[in-house]
Amino acid sequence: MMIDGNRRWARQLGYDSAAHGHRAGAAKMLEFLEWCDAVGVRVVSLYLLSTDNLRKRDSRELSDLIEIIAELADEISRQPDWRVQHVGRSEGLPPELARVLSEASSRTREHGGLHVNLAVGYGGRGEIVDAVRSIIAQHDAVGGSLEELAASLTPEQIGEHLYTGGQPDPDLVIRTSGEQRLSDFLLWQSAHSEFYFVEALGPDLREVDFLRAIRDFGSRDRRYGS
Amino acid sequence: MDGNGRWAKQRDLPRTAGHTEGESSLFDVVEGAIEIGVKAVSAYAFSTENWSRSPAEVKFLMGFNRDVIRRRRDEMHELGVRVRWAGRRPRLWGSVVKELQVAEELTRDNDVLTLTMCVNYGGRAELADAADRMVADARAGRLKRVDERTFAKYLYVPELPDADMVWRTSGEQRLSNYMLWQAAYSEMVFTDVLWPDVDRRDLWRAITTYAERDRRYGSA
Repeated sequence: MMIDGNRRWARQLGYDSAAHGHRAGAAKMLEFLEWCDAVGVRVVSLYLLSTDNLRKRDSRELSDLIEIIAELADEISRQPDWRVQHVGRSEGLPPELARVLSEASSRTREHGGLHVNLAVGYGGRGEIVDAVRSIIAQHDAVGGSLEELAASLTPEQIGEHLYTGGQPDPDLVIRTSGEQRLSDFLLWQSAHSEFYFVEALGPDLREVDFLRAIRDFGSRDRRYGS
Repeated sequence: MDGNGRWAKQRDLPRTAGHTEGESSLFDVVEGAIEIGVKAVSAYAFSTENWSRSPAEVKFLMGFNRDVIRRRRDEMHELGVRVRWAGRRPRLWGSVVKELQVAEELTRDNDVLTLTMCVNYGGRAELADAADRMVADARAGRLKRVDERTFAKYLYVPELPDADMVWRTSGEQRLSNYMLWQAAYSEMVFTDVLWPDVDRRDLWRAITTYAERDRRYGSA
């Protein structure tokens, strides 16, 4: 889920701070997770903060956003049986946010219900680079030579070393506010995903939009290249 | 370039008839791109996933790619198009590779538009191959650090800029493992028309849709 349009939503309502939009968007994400759980979705990834956002947003909006994300992460982790996983780089995150995410993950590690990936400090290209570094490091650690590693690096290995290693690829990517871009989200994992674009701004997303997305997905003919 | 199979099925023709009809669509689109000032077009001709199609269709597609490249090479050269190949060698017919190499060599100095033929291409395979070569260079002491910028240099056609627009025909809304890295910030435009029915006007319509979008690259 790529929730987009929080700022536009706030502007349309006449707020001069984007925080109102982010807060409404965060509340909507909690609802969205409940809808997912209700129809039997097993894994949901929420794109909350990209590495680009961290670099480019002005600091006032960013600090509001970080606080809102921390609250959201905490609230999600308090739902009975949902499991939270932080997907992204902890380095570069404000320590408080990194701490909240880490605690949310460890507190829910044994939960067997809805698996919620929180993409915070996330970049798809960066994730792929980190995966390659991780493969090299792991290989070094077991005393392997770079010579053995070269010419044996497979796509499957890269998949396993992503932040989402071990998880199934997403079937469906939903983006709100009418934008039709990936914006560096789950680049590797979404190679074969179906995309569904909703015109509504994030905070305006309705359950009927979600159900339509699911129904539309159900009617798609997924061929995976064959 | 999606929709060849469906186009053929609608007419009770074999799937291969759709591919055959799709050839002129591509080259009309290339001419239309030149007309409007586009500098780079990449065409998804054969994916790493397509090997799982029927042996007959795979055999057809290999021969077809080979023949199209040979047939259209001089025309591309005359238009000032620089032909490049993005893809990997394993399993790809030697005759196809040869035609691609001849075309690349012939058009090497052209600069009107770069046409990248993606043949035996897969986004994930490209990234794994890039990582592989990076490790080899690291071993030889030729590579100091692995980061996003250096990664981009190891893609099949490293001089290609990121894609501004990814255009998919026939109505399907997915990327199908195409240019994952290069499409990270691309606008995706989906058109319902089936590929064999496409001509340059469909490209221009897609570009108009693209032009109306607001590109933010992750900022506000």
